[in-house]
Amino acid sequence: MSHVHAKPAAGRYRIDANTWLAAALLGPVAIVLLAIIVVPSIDLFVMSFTDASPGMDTEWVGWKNYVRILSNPDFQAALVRNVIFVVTVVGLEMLIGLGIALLLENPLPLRGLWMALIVAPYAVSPIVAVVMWKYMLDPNFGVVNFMMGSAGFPTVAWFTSAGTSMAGIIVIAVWKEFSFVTIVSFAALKAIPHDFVEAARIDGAGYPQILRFIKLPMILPALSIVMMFRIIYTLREFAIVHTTTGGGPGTSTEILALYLYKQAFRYLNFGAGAATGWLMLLATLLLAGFLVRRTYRGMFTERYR
Amino acid sequence: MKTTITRRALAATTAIALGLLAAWNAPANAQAQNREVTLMGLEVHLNNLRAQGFARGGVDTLADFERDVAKVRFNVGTTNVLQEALQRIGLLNRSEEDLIFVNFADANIRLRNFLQPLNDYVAKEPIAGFPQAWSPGMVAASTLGNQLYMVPFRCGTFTLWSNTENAKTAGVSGIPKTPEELYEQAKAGTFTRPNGEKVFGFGLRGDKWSLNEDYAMAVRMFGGDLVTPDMKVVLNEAGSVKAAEMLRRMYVEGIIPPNWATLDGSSLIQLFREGRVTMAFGASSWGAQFEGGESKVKGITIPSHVPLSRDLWTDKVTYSPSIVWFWGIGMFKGATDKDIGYQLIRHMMKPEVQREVAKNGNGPCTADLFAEMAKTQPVMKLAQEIFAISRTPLPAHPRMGQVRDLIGETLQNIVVNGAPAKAELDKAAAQIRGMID
Repeated sequence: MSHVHAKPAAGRYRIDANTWLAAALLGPVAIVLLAIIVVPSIDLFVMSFTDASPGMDTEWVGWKNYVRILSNPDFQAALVRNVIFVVTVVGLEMLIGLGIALLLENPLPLRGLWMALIVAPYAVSPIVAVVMWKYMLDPNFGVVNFMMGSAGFPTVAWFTSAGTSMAGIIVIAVWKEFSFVTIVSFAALKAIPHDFVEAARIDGAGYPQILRFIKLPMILPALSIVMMFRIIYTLREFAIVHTTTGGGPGTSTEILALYLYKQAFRYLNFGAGAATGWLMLLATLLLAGFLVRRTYRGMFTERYR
Repeated sequence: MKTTITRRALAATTAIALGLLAAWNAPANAQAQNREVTLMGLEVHLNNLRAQGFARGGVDTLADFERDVAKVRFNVGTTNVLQEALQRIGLLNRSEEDLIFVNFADANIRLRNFLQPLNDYVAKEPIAGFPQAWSPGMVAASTLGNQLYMVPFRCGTFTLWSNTENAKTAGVSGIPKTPEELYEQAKAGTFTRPNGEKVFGFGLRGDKWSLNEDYAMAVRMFGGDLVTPDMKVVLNEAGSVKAAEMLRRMYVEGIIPPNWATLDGSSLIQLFREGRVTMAFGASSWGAQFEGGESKVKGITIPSHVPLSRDLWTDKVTYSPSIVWFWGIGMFKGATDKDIGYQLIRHMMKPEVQREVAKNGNGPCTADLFAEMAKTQPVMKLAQEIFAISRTPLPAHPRMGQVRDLIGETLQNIVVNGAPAKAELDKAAAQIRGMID
């Protein structure tokens, strides 16, 4: 419900006391956000038109950084890799997360314990999780290969080639975040009125039909929001790649966030790093805008739009 | 006129004198308790200075300074973290961090904006033996435009380290003198123990950031180089191509560990300590880290020179120049207490402190300490010989960070991803020329 009652009255807008109160309460937050997000963003935007590099003189270079980055094959390759990474990771997270939520929906014994175990990866600090996985997947000392070998499966030389490196990163990324999908999906499934399912059952619908025609459509808005968040967060993934492979072997696992980091902090090209950051922000805003629009369209009927 | 001092007056004077003395000392002690200096460095620097970790049992060389002058707070980071801290904190007008260990690779004109010149401090209170006792090349690398920005503290070279037990098990005798012998012995030294544990014949760092150093060593075995001191890019010449092809062959044949692309210094040291590597490129100061604590290779490691192609042998030199490296200690421009910061630098450079730090595993930077240690430690003798003919892996340049990364990526592409060596090196050389021209 909005407190803004902006009614045209003799060519003027009247603002009531509630609106003033809302503005007063939100004002400080808005000022803080302006100071710590908007101002630095503008500063970064200005920097993206310079060749700023710490310890060196700075010159204005116009659009040169943007032109260079967009025409750079390394950036283009990182962009393609990033898209593949996002599609794979988010796809797997949605499938696994939803699958587990559907399982947990049933009256399983020790359901609380299962839920706690599933949520645990989400609670672990990203760096701790990544370092732990790095050791677990180590081809020389790692427990994963030891267990695979002990069970009679062929071992995998993780992080030794482009394929196994990307696979290792995807495994870690999915493990770390699928529980977010599980939690939201589980809550959405639990919110479905039991009458709907019961009515479908009385009409002779089996589990596949109930899932397809009752449950999935009803939890779709929640899934859309989860997917939107996961896409945005996965798009800017950094910690896993930086800690496990550093973008290697070669540049085979280098994605956009790592490309940005290298430009800014390895090569000390702050101007190019800022331009990369703005390109990433632009891509994220466009994607988020598109997804939000799609999600809201699916969520509300025409009357509420 | 005769002056008589009464007993009471004498007692009163003594009491006043003692009181004044106590008052004089009290603030000094209190000051030592309250003052603090913050130093940023690697864990190995901390271990060397504090006699911790692999150096446990040695002398804490900061204890005297902390008792008399100020507490020392040590912020530990990796090489990358320190590089980032240097350019981030270095630009601040005021910083809690006072001093930082700076890698030789970062010793370029950028330092002028991050660090405080030390000339005035040295002129006022000289550092014992500086600069005469230090390697002139390293002092020159620490000096930009006649201003001294750091004092070399931890210096070293790279040598070839062998696990004699593994070599014996594999039936390998002697140490390799040429790259071809290195390959053959590494191949023979690759085996699987009865318990299924794989032993790799050769280990070297493969992570992108360190790779340029180990690759420079490999290239110099064939008489090549990466970028010459006069900034000529020779990365794609014959010696480099041969080295890249040899590493690729070793990788494909399983002589070097499969996770080579993520093998950094600490991982390589761990692998060597576990007895999982027969030979490895390693710093001359890594002996203590290889053999310290619960190491499986205690007493069975030997250092030797990095091999050199036989056609490059001379009457005097039959080994590769390998590489030299160093860490200097500098003071941030915005350091809170520069006087105390400089006092700590002076303390760390005292000959007696240098000697104790060297016993804790630090590579010395002064010629006399090198000579002294060379009498009893074979690796220091090797290091002394290498210092006479060697140079850093890459020359100083503000864009060298980008060059390092590119070399790492290129080599990983060749060795792990199987890209053709010559074409890949040609491409990288062209890119590097664009970066440093």
